[in-house]
Amino acid sequence: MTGAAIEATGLGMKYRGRGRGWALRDCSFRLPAGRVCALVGPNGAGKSTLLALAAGFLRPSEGTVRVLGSVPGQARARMAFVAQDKPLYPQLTVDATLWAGAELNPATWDQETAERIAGDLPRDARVRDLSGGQRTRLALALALGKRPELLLLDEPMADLDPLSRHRLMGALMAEAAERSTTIVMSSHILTELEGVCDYLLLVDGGRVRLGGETEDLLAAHTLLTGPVQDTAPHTVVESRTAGRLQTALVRRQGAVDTDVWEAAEPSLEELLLAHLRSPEAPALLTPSAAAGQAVATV
Amino acid sequence: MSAIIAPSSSPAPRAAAASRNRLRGPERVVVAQHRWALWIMGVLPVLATVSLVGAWLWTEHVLDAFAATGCSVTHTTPGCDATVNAYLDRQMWLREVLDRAGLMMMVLPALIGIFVAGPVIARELESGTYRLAWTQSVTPARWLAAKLAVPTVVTLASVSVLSAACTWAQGRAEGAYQGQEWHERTAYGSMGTVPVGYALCMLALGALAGLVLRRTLTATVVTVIAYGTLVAAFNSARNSLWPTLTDTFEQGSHYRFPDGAINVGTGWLTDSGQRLPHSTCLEWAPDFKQCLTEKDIALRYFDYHPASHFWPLQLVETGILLALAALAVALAFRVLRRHHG
Repeated sequence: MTGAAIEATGLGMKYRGRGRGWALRDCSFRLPAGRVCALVGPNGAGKSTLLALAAGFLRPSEGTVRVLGSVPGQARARMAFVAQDKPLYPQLTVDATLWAGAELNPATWDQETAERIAGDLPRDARVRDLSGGQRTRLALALALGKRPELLLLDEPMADLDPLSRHRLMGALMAEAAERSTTIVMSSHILTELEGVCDYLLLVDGGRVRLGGETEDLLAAHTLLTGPVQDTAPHTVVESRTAGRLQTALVRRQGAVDTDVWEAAEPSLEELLLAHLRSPEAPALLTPSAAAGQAVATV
Repeated sequence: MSAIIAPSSSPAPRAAAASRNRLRGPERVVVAQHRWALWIMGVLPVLATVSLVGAWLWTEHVLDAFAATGCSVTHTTPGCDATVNAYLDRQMWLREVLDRAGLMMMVLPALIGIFVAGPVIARELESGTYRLAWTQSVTPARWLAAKLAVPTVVTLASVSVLSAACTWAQGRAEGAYQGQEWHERTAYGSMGTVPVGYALCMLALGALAGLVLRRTLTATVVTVIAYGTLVAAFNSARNSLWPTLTDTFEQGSHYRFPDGAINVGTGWLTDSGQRLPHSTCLEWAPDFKQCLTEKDIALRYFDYHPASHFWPLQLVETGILLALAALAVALAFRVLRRHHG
């Protein structure tokens, strides 16, 4: 079990205040180092809370989270985090923001990388005058200039047009590949992450529902089409009937009887949507994603 | 600005710069964030000192000019009325200048508290920019330390100079005209070490308020209320911060209350040494003499702080304020640790 970028055990976070309860509850998972992980889930699922806990902004109400082998507070110099609202000092200029990055990360700062990501941002412009997309780019420049081993991105591309999104994602992936940075990217837009992420964490209702290599998770499930009848022994995630025809997304237990069923591998979107529509479906963590004592195995 | 944004890209100087900056990086970023406020805090004492010295020089000139006319304020001489009036007007003007300066010194700690509570701490927490600092290689505690250190250094320098200027001006003015007494609120609060004590205490309380309340408006309002409470509490408790002196004398004998002293309390002293309030027997009552005999009153007493108690009183008040500041800072770090690990 070496080389975990993030390892959570029984992690829970409860916010104080009226009408607020557990944002995250009983989360146990493991993210191996070197992966590009999509953290997906609907709005309010607990994605941001999970990232804030990993970044060390919040102290968990219960359980533990370890980042790069230590408590989040001690891994601060080795990880970077870009929050959803891209916090930057509005009164500083682009140049001054990068200067601040150098001042605050004396040991790891790489001006060239930061400059490359910042690209053609007007250097004398104040942050308050930048557009949403420009702020995103500057926030990413600050994060990558730090040369982190683990990069946490909360809804990173939400403000970007498709072209900038594509370009910035390319730059991000190039940096990650060059230095085998572990990246965790949260999103509720599935298409944003498909194709770039080789690892997946599905968070829903404050719990981890799916965790593991995207390929393995897809391979563990099958989309069955056939007559309306019991799908045993397979575990049903979601089943829908239209007339005499049944479509079921199942977690395979043994071989599929292809005499009865037409079997196909689901797309990532089908897999995620099926789980989101069926909150009662059991959680599934692949062996690499199971922390300590496995919650469930394939 | 451009002079300090020069992170060299060659590795050797960068490594040197890195080790040099490790202690100062966060402080330098705090300075860059609050350039204007810090600049104002630096310029303010210079302006105030120049104004006070100017006001004094002008007054001295007025005094000399008046002495040359041969007129006197106390003995009216024919033809001097206009000169004396003009002279008194100018003295009033100096008194007003010192009053204003004193008032400004009383407001200053509140402004420092508001600055730290609002823009320095709460606004970062409210707008979420604290996460920018905390995701760099800077711990929350280090962040808070920088946020406190920079205003503390500037406040210490700025308020010390201001207070020294006020102390000097009050001292010069005392000899020259019937000015403020040392124990009047704006005078006492603008001289000596007390202004520094209030400024640092409000800085710390502001930081604590900002950290706990995390809302710019709420934190600043609470800070102002805290300052009002603090000032009111010290105004009512100040006389008990240092043991008073007591004078006793027999009723009917001549007694002169010491010059420049604060009257803290007066009353009657019985034969057995018991203190009775002054209202027990009133001089103008018809049975006054009888009352004294009935109550076995032997002496009248006055409790007071002589002018020489200025420094003991100032130092005790400053000490309490600094202890409060230390407590607030310790609490602030504790709150930070509890919420953010």
